[in-house]
Amino acid sequence: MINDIERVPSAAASVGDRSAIRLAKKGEFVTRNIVGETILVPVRGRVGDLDAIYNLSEVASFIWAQIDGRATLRQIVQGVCAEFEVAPETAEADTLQFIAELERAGLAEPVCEASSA
Amino acid sequence: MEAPTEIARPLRYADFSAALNNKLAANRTPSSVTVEVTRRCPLECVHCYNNLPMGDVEARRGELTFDEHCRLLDELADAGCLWLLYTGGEIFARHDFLDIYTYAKKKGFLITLFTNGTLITPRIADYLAEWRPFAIEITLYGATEETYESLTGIPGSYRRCLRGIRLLRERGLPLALKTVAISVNKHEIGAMQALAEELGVHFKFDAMMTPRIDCSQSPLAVRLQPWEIVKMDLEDPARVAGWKQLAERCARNSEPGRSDQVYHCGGGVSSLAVDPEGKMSICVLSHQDTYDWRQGSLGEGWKHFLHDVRKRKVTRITKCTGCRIKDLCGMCPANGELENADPEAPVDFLCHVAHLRAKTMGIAVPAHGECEYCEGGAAYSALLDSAATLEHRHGERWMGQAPRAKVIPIAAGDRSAGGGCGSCGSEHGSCASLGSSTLARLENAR
Repeated sequence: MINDIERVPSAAASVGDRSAIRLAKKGEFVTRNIVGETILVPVRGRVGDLDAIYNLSEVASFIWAQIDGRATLRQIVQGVCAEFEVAPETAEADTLQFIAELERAGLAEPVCEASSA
Repeated sequence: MEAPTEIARPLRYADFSAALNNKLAANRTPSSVTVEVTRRCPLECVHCYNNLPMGDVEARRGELTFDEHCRLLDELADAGCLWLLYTGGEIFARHDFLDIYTYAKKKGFLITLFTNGTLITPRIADYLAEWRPFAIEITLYGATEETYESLTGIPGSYRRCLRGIRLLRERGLPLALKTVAISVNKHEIGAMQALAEELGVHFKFDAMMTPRIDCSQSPLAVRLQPWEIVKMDLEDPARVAGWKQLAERCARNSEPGRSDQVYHCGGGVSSLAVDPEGKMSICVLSHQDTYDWRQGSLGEGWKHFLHDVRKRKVTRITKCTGCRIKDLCGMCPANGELENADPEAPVDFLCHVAHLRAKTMGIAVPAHGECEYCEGGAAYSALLDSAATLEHRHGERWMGQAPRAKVIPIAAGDRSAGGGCGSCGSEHGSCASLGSSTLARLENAR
């Protein structure tokens, strides 16, 4: 439930102590795949920059799909490692950078559950 | 590993559109689709190519139902459509239009709405503010009540249109205004543009009329004369520069006779149209070849029927085949179909306009077969008469003195949808097209 979550400081600085942070998407988006391009289309409300189009690479698409309010940062990084067979430090750095971009664009935010783990 | 940081950045729309269109060019995909939800309209515009009365029971009965629209949208999303244009008639003449629109929004289309604005209420405007469209274009038929309503035939429609514009502007929706320049309102094009500037919205106009799709030639009665159309060009240095640039590009790049296909536009390659009854065609103006979606599927209609229409070969050489100023006229098979019942038959009016543009703007016209409007041709004297009229009326100003925003459609914020030509008013595709829309293509290519 959206009422059960609250904002916490940015998740993008480093995984480290924040490995347990969960990320949620902001607003309503539809992900479209057209001729191999993954595109995020804002659907409802004033979310993100409505005058921009968000075009994701394969890796970014994977990370975007993992952002569901439940997966932790560590789990997302592990998922990137497994899916793309890269070193953990590379996966971590790229994931954090991507998430920082998402936060700056207003497309995702770190959350934690108010009353439950 | 591919670094994701590069692509996390939002792209400027024009960059995104250009990049995606490059990919689409190599993958025949119906990325731009125009859907006419109804032909019914509360206005009775003298120039309209397809409007029907609001109370037309037969028209209403034939329209796709809400469930059919949903199924169509499912198929369009699966087929790779991104840009969706809803037009009419008047889209809000359908009481369930917002339901259809919402379903489309949830499928992730970039939706453009064409409307006359007269049926927009605070409730509709609030809803659109929440479920924001990609673009909205309202057609303004005059700058004054008298002119507007002499064109629409409906008392009170001017005020309702202005109310609709105000409601959308108040909510910060992505609005643009446009008009059709015809004999009834030609004296107010400049004032309409000034009004748009006052409102802070983009403005464009098009002077090219076509007959009605039911074969009536009635809209042509209010079509401007060729010299009047060119006069509007000549009053605006930006338009003149645009036409010259198009002509230079056409002369530089085209190889006369290089294509043996009837169609040269994006129709059937990257775009299609669906009429209120579910008939699929190359564009909203072309109705000689339609596929009944209700009896099949979008995939079948696109992969086979429209593919075959698009690949159709020309049956003869015409003066258009090797014409090096064809970008100045906007001739397309739909024009030939509507004016001459023959997609390949040159449209005399368009030829007159193109040659007059060339003559008055100092653009060379290489020989291109037996052309009435070239020197020595049967209509060359008519061309000279038009040029003389323009010279005689050189001092008149129709477009007003106010500094102008760009009147070239695509310059209006790079937002567009549909098949890429004036038939649906959209320009991100590759369709050579009508009047100002052709200029739009040039702007888009810059």
